[in-house]
Amino acid sequence: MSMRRYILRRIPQLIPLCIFAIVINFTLMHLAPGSPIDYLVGGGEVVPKEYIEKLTREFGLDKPLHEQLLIYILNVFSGNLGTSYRYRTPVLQVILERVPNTLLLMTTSIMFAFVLGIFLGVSSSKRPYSLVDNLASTISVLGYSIPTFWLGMLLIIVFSVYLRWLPTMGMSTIGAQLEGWEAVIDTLRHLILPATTLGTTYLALYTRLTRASMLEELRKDYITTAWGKGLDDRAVYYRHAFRNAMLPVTTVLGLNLGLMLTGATLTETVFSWPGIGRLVYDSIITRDYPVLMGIFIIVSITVVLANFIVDILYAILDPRVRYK
Amino acid sequence: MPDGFIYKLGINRGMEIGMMLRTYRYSVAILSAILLLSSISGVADAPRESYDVSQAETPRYGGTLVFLRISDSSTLNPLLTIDDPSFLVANQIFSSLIDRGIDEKGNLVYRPDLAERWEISPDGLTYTFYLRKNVKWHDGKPLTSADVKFTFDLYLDPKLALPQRPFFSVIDHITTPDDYTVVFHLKEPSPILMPLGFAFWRNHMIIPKHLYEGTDIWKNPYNEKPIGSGPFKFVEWVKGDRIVLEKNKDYYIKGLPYLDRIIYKVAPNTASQIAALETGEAGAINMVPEPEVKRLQGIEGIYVFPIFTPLGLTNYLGINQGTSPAGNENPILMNKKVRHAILHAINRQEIIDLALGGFGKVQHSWVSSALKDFYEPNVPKYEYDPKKAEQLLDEAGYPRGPDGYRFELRLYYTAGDTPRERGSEIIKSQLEKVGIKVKLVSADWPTLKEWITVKYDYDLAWFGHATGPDPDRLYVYYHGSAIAPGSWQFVRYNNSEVNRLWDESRKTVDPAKRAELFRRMQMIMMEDLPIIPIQERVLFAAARTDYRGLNETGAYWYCNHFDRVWWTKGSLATPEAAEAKIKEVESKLKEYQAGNWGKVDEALAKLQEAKKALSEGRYDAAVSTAEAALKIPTPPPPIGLYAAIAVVVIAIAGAAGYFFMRRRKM
Repeated sequence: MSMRRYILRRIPQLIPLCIFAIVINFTLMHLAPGSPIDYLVGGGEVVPKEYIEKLTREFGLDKPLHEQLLIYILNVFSGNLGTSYRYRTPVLQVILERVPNTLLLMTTSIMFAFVLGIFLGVSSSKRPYSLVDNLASTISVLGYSIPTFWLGMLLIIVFSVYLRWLPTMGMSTIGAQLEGWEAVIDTLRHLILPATTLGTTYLALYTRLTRASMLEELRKDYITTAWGKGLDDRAVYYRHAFRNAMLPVTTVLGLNLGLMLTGATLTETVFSWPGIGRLVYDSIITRDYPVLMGIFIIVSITVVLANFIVDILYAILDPRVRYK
Repeated sequence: MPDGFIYKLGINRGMEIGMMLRTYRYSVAILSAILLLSSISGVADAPRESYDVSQAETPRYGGTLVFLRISDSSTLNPLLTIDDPSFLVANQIFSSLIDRGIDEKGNLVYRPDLAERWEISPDGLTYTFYLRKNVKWHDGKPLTSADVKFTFDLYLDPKLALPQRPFFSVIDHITTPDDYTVVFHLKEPSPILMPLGFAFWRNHMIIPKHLYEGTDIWKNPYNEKPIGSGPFKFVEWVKGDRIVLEKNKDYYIKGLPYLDRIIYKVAPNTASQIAALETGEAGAINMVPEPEVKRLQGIEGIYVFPIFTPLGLTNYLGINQGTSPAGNENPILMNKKVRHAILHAINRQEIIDLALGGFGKVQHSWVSSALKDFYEPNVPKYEYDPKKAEQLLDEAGYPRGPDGYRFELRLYYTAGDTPRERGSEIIKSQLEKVGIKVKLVSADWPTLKEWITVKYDYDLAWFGHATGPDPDRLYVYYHGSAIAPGSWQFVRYNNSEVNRLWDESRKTVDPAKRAELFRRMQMIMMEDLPIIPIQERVLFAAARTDYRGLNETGAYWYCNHFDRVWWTKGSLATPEAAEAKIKEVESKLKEYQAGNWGKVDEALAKLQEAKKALSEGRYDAAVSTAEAALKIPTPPPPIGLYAAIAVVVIAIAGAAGYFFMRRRKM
């Protein structure tokens, strides 16, 4: 019961939040120097004034900023995200084409990091400052500090250029017409390097976080009691400490999942992965305001939803939350 | 787009995320590269590609070329845009009246495309084009003069406001005496209609009347799935990722194109592009950052070649030295002596060697020396001479202050453009030696463009432009009338004598007189010095040696048809020949089947293999497999002979039996 009320209370919060996100993003974007027309008239030495005027009118850029904002908000709430300046196709279509690609990459990386990170974190916490712990810490700190861009290039050079094991770019072999399992395997082969690159950054986060919160739990009285009862390692670490230690880790996972739709600009760029991250970057460079706004709105909604899911997960993991 | 907006500030190397390498088109004449290389190494050789270009090689059919580029097209209708990524693909799908090539001397030449020949009347007022008669649109309809007239009428329609309209504004009207003749009637003779209009690489692609007539050209669905008449047909466009084209089997040049497919894949990072080229995942990349050129030249299986050579690309610093429209003028830079001093204080060869890849020679004029007809070799050269620079600065009234500096200037470059960033640092140290303090400022291109061309809020800024194929395209950079916020005339240079000569050049049809006018303008302008010329730039592209002919596509690199590009692992047999062979074998096998031959089923199975080879583009294999299939069936047993033998055997056996019976009885 309380859960339903909780959900109902949270949903209306979405609307002001979205408006807030729209206003902030819209204003910042339009105040930044540069104009979308510049991209479209790009290489032209001699661009007729009528053409520029036509585009300005068509995009509504001739109206005062507050009026543009109002029109935009009204459009959004009638379900219209506008048309991309660059592609001249509906924004929603442009974004939706990229969503599956980004989801595949982000889910794989985050899951990879989450599972491996927890494993490394728990292992480290069993014997702090042991060889295993130091190794895990070194790996994760390195992974966190290495620039994604550089790591991606390094993996390409080693695994693609020298060893020729894995492809350098894209989501599938260009030009090959594969079907069924062959296509799936092909996509997975293309996924390995970008997912590893992106996952490595998250890995550090989960490893360190799991380790820290495990250590904190292990210091508590109930663990001493558990040891005192003569419980074995497994029961103490996993049934007692681990469940409690998972709370902060889950929070971070939820936040990461919320950002899943933002994509990963650098990784997507290095591996020519046609995802949302690259769309954001391209849209900034071309000042494709409608596409950018569309992405921001969708991301705002997912972040809120993800936080919401985390709250529910809390309730499952920690019974005390449920009873309140 | 060296004349394109990104090139303008040279966002082309370094980290290269996203847009940086959209600077496709910059290049400098091959000849100047050769001259420079030979002057350095003492070897007067032409640049060698890493494979032997043997004339004896016979082109082969089949294969897929994967072509990597930095960014995606925005539309596939070439009339609606001026951005280079769009033309890159459109030029394979659509055809133009005239194609452009380079002769042995490196000069730009015009070649037939849709027009097999053309005439310009002696008064320069009518241009007549005679079209090929065998051209079909990709949907099978014939291409006629009506399509050409329809396309150009769109340009002439002021209401449509097509972006390339100004190139054709000199055309008064168009007539079509018959289906294959188009006549353009001009308002006045124009020396630039040919180089910058009909024969320019983005201005004149013909679109189909039957699909566009009566529709809103901006919203026509065929903008997304174009029907053209070029060597390759549109297959699919996955936005932001790839565009797939396939061979046009009804292409108007028989036997072409050689390739079966071209896939344009967006790969925004040049380092990744190069890795994919090394592994063979890609067949060609549209541009190589200069610092990578030497390394790639050493890799087996890859060849690197100069591109856009007839365009005469340049790399220079724009100087904020004008006043109108009022605002942000810099009185120091308005002093001509200061401008001269700055150029004397800069060692351009050092910048080229240490920051710009070491290619291309020092630029001396605003027109590149690649434009041999127009370039004025006697322009003042401003040799590197820091002492003279100091003397000029003293004379100009800017002595060194107590801190050793005379004044401070801001130098702008695009963030992430490593070569220009390095170049800026070198310039900073060179200028500080003569007492000019330099502050380096970088930003992304859209921001920078607004600061520089709209607000004029800069002192010096890296820029680049193509000076060819005709220097008139720089009108918007240097003619006084072009000064307006947002225009390319951001240096706000306004010299009435230059303006007058330029206006005169636009009315002068005689090429020699016109060239003379441009040479005079260079003498005046290089004395005024509205820019600091730095480098005549050479650009490079790279491809795998399996793909031949990419270095010979023509004047404008990827904006020429790739109809003669071929794959060394392809087949000598044409797809048509393979298909005909299979048909021939199939009909023969059917005859055999009717004639009760043996092993026909086996042969038909083999023929299926041949068909599979055909569908996979292995044409030689298809032919040989089909031929092998034909040899499998065995002729039906000759029943008459067997019967005769049987009769003989029975007869002999009967006779023998009879004989034995008789003997026993005896």
